[in-house]
Amino acid sequence: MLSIIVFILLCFLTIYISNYNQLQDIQTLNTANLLLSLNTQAIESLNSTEQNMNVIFVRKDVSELRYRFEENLKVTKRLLYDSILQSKDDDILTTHLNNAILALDDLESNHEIIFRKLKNIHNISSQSQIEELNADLLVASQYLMDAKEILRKIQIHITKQNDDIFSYLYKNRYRPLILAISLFLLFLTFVLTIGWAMARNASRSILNLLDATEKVAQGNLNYQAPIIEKDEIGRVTNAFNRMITSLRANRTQLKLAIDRMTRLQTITESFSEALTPDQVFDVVFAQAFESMEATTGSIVLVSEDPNFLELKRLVGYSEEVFNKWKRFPTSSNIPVAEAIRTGEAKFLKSNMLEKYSDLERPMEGPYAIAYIPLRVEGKSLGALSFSFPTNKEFDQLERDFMISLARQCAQAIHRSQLYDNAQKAIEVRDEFLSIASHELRTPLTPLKMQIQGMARQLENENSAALTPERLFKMIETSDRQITRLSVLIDDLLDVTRISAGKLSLNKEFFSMKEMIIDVVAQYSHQFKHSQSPVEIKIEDDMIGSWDKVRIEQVIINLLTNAAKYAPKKPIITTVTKSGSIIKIQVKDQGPGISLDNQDRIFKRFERVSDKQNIGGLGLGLYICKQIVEAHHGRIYVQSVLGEGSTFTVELPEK
Amino acid sequence: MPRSWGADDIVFIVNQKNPLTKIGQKELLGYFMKKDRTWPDGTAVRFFDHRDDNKSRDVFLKKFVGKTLREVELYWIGEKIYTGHIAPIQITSDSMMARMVGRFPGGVGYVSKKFRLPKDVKYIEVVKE
Repeated sequence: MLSIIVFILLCFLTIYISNYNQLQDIQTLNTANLLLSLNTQAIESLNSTEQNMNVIFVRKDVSELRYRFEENLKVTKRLLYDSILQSKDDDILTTHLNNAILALDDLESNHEIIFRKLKNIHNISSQSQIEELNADLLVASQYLMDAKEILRKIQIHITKQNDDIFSYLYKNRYRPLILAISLFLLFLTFVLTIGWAMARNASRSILNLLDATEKVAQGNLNYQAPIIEKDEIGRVTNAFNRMITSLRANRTQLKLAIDRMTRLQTITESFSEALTPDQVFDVVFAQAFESMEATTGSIVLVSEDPNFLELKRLVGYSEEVFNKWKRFPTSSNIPVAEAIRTGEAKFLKSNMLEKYSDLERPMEGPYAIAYIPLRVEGKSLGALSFSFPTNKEFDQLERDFMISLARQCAQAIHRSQLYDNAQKAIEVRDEFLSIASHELRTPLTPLKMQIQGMARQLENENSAALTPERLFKMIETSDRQITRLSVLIDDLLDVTRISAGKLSLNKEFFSMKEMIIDVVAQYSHQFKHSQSPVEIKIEDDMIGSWDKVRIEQVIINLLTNAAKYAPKKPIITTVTKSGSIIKIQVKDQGPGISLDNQDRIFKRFERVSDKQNIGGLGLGLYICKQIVEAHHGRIYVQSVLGEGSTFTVELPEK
Repeated sequence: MPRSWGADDIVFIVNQKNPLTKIGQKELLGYFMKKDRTWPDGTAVRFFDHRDDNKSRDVFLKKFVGKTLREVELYWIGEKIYTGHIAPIQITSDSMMARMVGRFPGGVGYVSKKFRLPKDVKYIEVVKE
């Protein structure tokens, strides 16, 4: 549009320039006509002067004649000066006019002489004087003729100039028309060319767009249709290109999502193959960590004590940092603890971490970090963390990926823990079965032998050999074995109850002092048998609310153990009180327990002695520990090898 | 008196100040016909002619210009129209001719052979080419 306007303006300018010369000529023509008019007036004035001169001799009053003569000359000169002003650029004309004025000047000076002589004409007498005056007049005529000649030349010059101009104008009379037609044709050509170019561009743009749609349909999303003009089609093409760019971005996102989904699937498969927590951690850091291109990462799990968290894996940090955070309180003011406490994922940028003063910075400069809790069935197992070296905002895709990963990881950890527990349970079961079968078989063999011996005697009708003493002894032996069996079965039942979490306490108020005295008295024959005298030192008594049967069980276990492992040596039992805690100690003078074994003996199926003659399931101290802990108390041993052991039970009053 | 073409009829005179002593016939004819308006030294030529009834003029036209009176009249009419030139002033007598030539430094004219020249004019020889 702008180009068309510019073109039209240029056309007008061309027409104006083209006609400028003609306008100039017309102006010159006007000037020439004016000059011609002035010149004609000057010639007429000179003619009048000539007429005046011719009547000099016939007129007596020369003063009037002189006046007219002078007036005519003045008029003529003024006309010539006016002509000079009008003929600004014409040098020839100006020269002619100047010459004419000079001729008139000569005439003027000459006529002074003439009129002076005419004044004294009455004194003229000789022929010579008359001839002289006549000569003067002839000279004046000559000047007059010069002036007239010059003016005539001017007239011819102007006329010729006019003729030239007229001729030029006539010759160029069709010029504006031709120019107008030419410009019209040029304009038409211009419009047609523009139209053709626009149509061509439009068709090219449409073809390009069609080409682009075909390429896109073939899957080439990198192609961008060229934009030829910024017209409507150009805008459509631009919108199309933007759409393709958006489509390409979406496809990239989709690919990324599929890729992540595939990776998540692979990771899930790997998780399913992981049997232990360590294997799960390996999968997290070998596959997930790498695929996300994370810089640092960690796995934190809730420890057995839920008040503490344990750092299981740390990548991208120094060993010192790992050791520092190996175990830390759940209440710590760090994002990972917060994520575990709240159960909500945290996606943070480095500038949002200022409030966590204790946090170890994974890297210098800006970064982004994600903390995702590991939760199974509403319970927090721990959390994963990943950091990235850009201060980016995590998009929904990344968040979903990490949350899904954490969910899979949590389930895998949970599974591995269950597997671990199951493995341990199987191991315990196997060991238990092994020990139990052996221990249960041990009393059965002598019992069976006793019964078989008795049966044999009766079969052989040798009842005389079955004297009452012998029978009593056989029965006593059998009873001892049955008792032993009964104890074993009770222990097994207790362990089963403890494992099932069904160890219930029937609390009642009783005197600890009385209970211990009763127990020692009850088992006095056993201590007598093992030659282990029991000394009771009770400094303070306490009446508390405990399960009497279970506490008796603990005391009996400690005393019988002392008798078993330190036979023929005294056992000292003391009872002291410290605030609301009652402390019962059983001290023997046995072989003692090494430091390494002091914790182990309180575990299931653990026995300190490897002596074959000392039987048992190795459950006694384990059951004792469970009973004491069920009363919110504690049991421990202090021992020096070769110097005996002291088992201490501390129980709160209630 | 110098010998000249038609010397038995008329002689040509110029102002005493004119440095020339002779002139070609063509040049002189050019001065009369106003084809050339200046002398070689730049002085304006002022040709004076006799009246139609003067015998010297007949001689001048017939033997020098080579045109009849009518032809000369038509020539000057044409000149007036096309160039603006006006025919030279016509003088009534040889004495007035000599007086006018004497008045103008570029003056030139012709007188009868018998005429006695005043001091301020001189003869000029016209050379036939």
